[in-house]
Amino acid sequence: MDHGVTVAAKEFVTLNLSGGLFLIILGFLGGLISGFIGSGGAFVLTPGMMSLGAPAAVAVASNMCHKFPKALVGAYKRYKYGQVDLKLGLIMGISAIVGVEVGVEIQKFIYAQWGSAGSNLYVSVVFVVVLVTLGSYVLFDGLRRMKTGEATEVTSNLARRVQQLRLWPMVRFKTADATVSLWVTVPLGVATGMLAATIAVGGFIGVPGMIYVIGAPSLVASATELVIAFVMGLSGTLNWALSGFVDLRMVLLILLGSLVGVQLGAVGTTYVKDYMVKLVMSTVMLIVAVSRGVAIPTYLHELGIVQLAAPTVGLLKNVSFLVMCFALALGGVIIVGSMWKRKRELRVEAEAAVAAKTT
Amino acid sequence: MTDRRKMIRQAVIWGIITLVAYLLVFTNQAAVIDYTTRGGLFAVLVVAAALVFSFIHGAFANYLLEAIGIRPLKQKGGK
Repeated sequence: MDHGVTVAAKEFVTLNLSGGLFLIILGFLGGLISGFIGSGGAFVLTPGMMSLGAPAAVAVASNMCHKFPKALVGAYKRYKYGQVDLKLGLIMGISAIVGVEVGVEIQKFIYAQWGSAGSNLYVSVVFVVVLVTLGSYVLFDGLRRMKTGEATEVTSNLARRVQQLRLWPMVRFKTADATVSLWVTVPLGVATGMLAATIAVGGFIGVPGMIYVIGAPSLVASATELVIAFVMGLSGTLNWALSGFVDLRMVLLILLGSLVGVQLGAVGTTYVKDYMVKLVMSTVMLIVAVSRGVAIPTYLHELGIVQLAAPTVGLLKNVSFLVMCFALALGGVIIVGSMWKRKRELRVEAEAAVAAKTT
Repeated sequence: MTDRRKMIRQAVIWGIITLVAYLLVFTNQAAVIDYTTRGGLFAVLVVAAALVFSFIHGAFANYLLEAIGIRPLKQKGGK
């Protein structure tokens, strides 16, 4: 790969047409998922940029920098639909910044002890454990609600208990329709930030946390996650940009796709029942877990724990990346398909109403 | 002017602004990389550029979706 511009020991890739289109498409799919479930589109962008030749630090920094404008646009859109709990988002967002710092320190420690392969192995294991555990639960709950056809969401038993916990200071979250102690919201925000620092998607803890622990409806939780992503993204971008690691060209190419995707995803939430957020989120989570699971043997190989042939390592890494892209694409198809189906139903209903009037 | 025509007009205006902004960046890549990777106070430039592009391209994307008939169905939040 031809590395284009070098500035103070940092390398910035030469972007050709195919590389640019690749980033725009990944941006669109990532934006679509984020607009709908609040996050979950960013994990594929860092490896995507690295596959174009960008160094890891530049890819992580640029991913962070595309996140906050995308989250801002998505949050604004969903705020207009009455889905955002701003107070909850800001409290969890600020707590998440602390979580990111803790997560980064853990990463640094692991890197110092076991190097790059150890760090990759740790990230993959966290990916698989967190996503399989939470993803399975969210999928189970989403399917149950789809079968029963619940029009409104029922607050989980855990959230009911949490809301009864009267531990000062209590905070009322109007849109989420919950009064919860800061002793619950702050740790949840910290956990969201820690996950974001580890696997780049804090929302896989933040959104289920807001639904099952705080008791927010799915649509409010996924919309509020965009506020958290904005706060974390802005803070992370400033950190990286202060050291000059952000490649603004890649950020702008990703935004070209993601600002369309995030608004389409946001509009999509007004077409579907609440459980669809859970179904899309769990589908993406479980497929991404498979993707990272596939990559684990390659890191074990790099650590010398198992022996693999070089072509096998290459194959596993490619399969892992393709499965990740598949997760995004499938999520996108489900969202657009659900919107399309609902639009068609409404058209049929409107035609039936006109026909009934004329007879 | 109908609502849809207004949206198309807005989409075209913001589309042109977005196109010009992107052309300016990509015809001056070396200068863009030079200034935005200096670090320190130049970090403000990175954040400002991301915000400006999110505003202009975000507006274009909004009007584009509206113009092709992708609009919200219901506006709801709580339980």
